[in-house]
Amino acid sequence: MKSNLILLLICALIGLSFISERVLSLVYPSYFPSPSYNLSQNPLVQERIDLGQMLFFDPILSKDLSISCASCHSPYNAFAHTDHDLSHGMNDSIGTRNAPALFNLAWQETFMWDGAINHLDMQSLAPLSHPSEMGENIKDVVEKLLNTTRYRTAFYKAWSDSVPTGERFLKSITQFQLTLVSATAKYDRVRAGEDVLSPQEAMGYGLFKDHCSSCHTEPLFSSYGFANNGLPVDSILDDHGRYGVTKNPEDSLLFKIPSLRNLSYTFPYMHDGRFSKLNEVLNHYNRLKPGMIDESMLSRSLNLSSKDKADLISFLMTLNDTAFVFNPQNKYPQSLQVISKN
Amino acid sequence: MKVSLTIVVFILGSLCSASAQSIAVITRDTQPAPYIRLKFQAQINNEPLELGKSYYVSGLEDSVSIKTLKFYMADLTFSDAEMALDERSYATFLIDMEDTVSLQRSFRTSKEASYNEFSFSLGIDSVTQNSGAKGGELDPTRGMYWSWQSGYINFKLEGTSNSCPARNHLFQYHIGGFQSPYNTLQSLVFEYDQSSSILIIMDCNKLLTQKNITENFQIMSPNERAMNFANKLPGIFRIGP
Repeated sequence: MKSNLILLLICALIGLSFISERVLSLVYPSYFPSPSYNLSQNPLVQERIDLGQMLFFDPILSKDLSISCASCHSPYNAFAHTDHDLSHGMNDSIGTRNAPALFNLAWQETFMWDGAINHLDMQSLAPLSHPSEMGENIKDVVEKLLNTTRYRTAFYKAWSDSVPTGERFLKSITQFQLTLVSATAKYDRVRAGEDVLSPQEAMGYGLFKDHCSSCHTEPLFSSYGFANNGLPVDSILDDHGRYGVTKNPEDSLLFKIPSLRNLSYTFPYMHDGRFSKLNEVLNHYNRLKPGMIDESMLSRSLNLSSKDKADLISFLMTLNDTAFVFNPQNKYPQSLQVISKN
Repeated sequence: MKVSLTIVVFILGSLCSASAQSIAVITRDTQPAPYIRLKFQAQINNEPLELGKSYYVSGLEDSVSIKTLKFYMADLTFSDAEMALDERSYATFLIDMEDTVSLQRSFRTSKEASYNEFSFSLGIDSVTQNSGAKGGELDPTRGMYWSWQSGYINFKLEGTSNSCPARNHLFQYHIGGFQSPYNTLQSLVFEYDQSSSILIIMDCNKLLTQKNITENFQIMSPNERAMNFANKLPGIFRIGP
């Protein structure tokens, strides 16, 4: 019996060291804050990231096998849906909000334009179950995965158990999304001392710090809080943002502040995709007068000249992270390509 | 090479856990630990509820059939501080009328039962609600997690009655919400004699009121009506003979 215990101890130690060897760390620059996501509850493991990526790109997640996460979150658009103002779903359904870009999710505590989701793990349940998106439910998805050989293999590799569960499914998708770190734009090279802003970009940076940075906080370019940006309510969508979640009148017309990284890939802009050009966005803010929205956001008019707008946009272009957007690791995974040939 | 190492470790690991289990079993056999057993029983018209069966409810002057009744029970605690429960008892359990195994829960204790009060929560606390995907009885595949807005459903009751004006006469109460002012978590406290076997009865008639069936027949988000419903839930539980 004693020898059994010793053997158990040795095995446990081997097992532990083996698992800790497999755990990857999230790579991000030193000037980024600590992630909000608690990685100790879902340690990054390559096989789980790979499984998450397979799931992210696989339309098996939707009821009629037509829509994947990547349908509206394309890697080549910084995981947004370029050129589509509102999200698309099964049977040509159109949703009510603009599919947001996905990156730097480890630093966000709430999800969706109204913050209805409180944890990255639970986010994928929303599009999965929405009748105008994937129209599925997690119980049936897990059942479909159980009946698919490549997923039983992938779950075994990732979780040492070929049986998919809701928890492992959600945590795997989370792991892939956590690896979507955008931190290699020109701005980041400048922060690292490897590049310099052009005179025009530097002028734009000054304007950005004066007028934009309280909500679009560096270095993530969002505080990821909520704000009323003064957009008139679309009479058809009648979307009052966070109020719909909290029922608190003070939250009416508050929407989650998006990051300004990767703007060239993520148009159209705003929660309902009403602006397709950055100039239109700047014109909107330029028209606002103090008193029209919360004073903490806008204490004085922007009064941007045409030159100011050009300068500001030239700075915003330094936040485009081409290396992230065209990172071959983030595209449609090999594991699905091989299968579809069979 | 790496793969074969994985296999070796897994085989070693599973062998060891198997031997660990056999050790535990031997200990248990020689010295059986005391236990406390909780048994849940839903009742309608003072008789045990059968899902799908039609019952005439006099308060409604109509028949009612219940198809789903399930809820989360968590943090079981007894007033005897010396009577430690095994760790599992602090976990969360899904009590589901459809799953008879889930209705009987046994907890090993450090000594024979001696207490005059015990309590548990009805629903999921906010710490658990805020900490991401969970497995086992908390797995979202159990049908007790909202998808459009984060949060567990603490208590779910669904059924039909001709008095219910909804489509297919379906009434559905998905009671949840953990953020102020709509925190629907309830704490239940029971006084009881120190028995190791406890029958907990849920009186469904108390929820099948005229108002619930004909007016508030759909409660499926955290709001004022969910709060009102949740506040009535402790009143449906009592200790049976």
